[in-house]
Amino acid sequence: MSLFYDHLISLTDIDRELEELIVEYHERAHLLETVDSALHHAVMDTILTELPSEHHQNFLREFSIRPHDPDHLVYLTQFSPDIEAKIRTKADETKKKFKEEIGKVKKAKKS
Amino acid sequence: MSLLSKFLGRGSNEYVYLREAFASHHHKVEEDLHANHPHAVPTLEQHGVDLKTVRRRAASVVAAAAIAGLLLARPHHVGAPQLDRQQAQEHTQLAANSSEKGSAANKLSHSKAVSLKKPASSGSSSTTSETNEKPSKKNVGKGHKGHIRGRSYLAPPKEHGLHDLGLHKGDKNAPHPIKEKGKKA
Repeated sequence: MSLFYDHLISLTDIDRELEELIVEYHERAHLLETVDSALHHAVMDTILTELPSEHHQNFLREFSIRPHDPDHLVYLTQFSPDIEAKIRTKADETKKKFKEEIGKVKKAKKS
Repeated sequence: MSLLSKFLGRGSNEYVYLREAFASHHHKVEEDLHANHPHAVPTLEQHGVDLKTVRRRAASVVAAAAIAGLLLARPHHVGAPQLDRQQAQEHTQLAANSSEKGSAANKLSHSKAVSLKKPASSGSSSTTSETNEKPSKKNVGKGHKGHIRGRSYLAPPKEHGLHDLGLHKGDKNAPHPIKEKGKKA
């Protein structure tokens, strides 16, 4: 675990689906990196939406110094008690779009 | 065909399609963040954080912390002298003795304060000599093997807590063990 919200998002389901389609490891890794980066942007969008704007600078500074620190989640919970659920929901929504694309490729391959 | 595409760096058809599709979704999410919070990305850039590579950065931070912790736990890896078990025990004994000396000094200062209060009494010197008795030869070599300050690790905690602070040693009314032995003899 390298980021404080890593336990809320998971890429294993996308990785399994990609394994069925793509054999090459480096290709899968590149695709997963793209998904991971998109998830970070989406999660950061959710966090900054929930956090009052006057605390944005402070949070971003602390996050840049200690990205893995679980205290960030404690800090965010003070402003939004259900932040964990919101991060999960946003991550699932983002992953859904990527899964849809994988589904399209699977269908095309079968037909 | 697949070998040729591999050499050309294109990859399989599925990969190429997914790469483009994923990139467009990634771009949309990135745009959303920029539109909703335009100040966030410049702030992160100011601190040298890119959300695309944040995981690598976090991993390096964690690794650096782990290495620092390891070096602090094992200082001889950084050049500090390595102590074997016997030397380490000697160090702990020295530390224990110095703390005992500190408590004796406290007692001395306390007894001096008492003697200052009663300058006329002739027995004050004898009382100070009793309180500042040197440890007997039997006790010097013993050390604290398996015990913290004479108490077993398995012993239940003292209820009043005075034993932990070493305050029980200053009980004036208690009979002195060495004196009692002398009387008996």
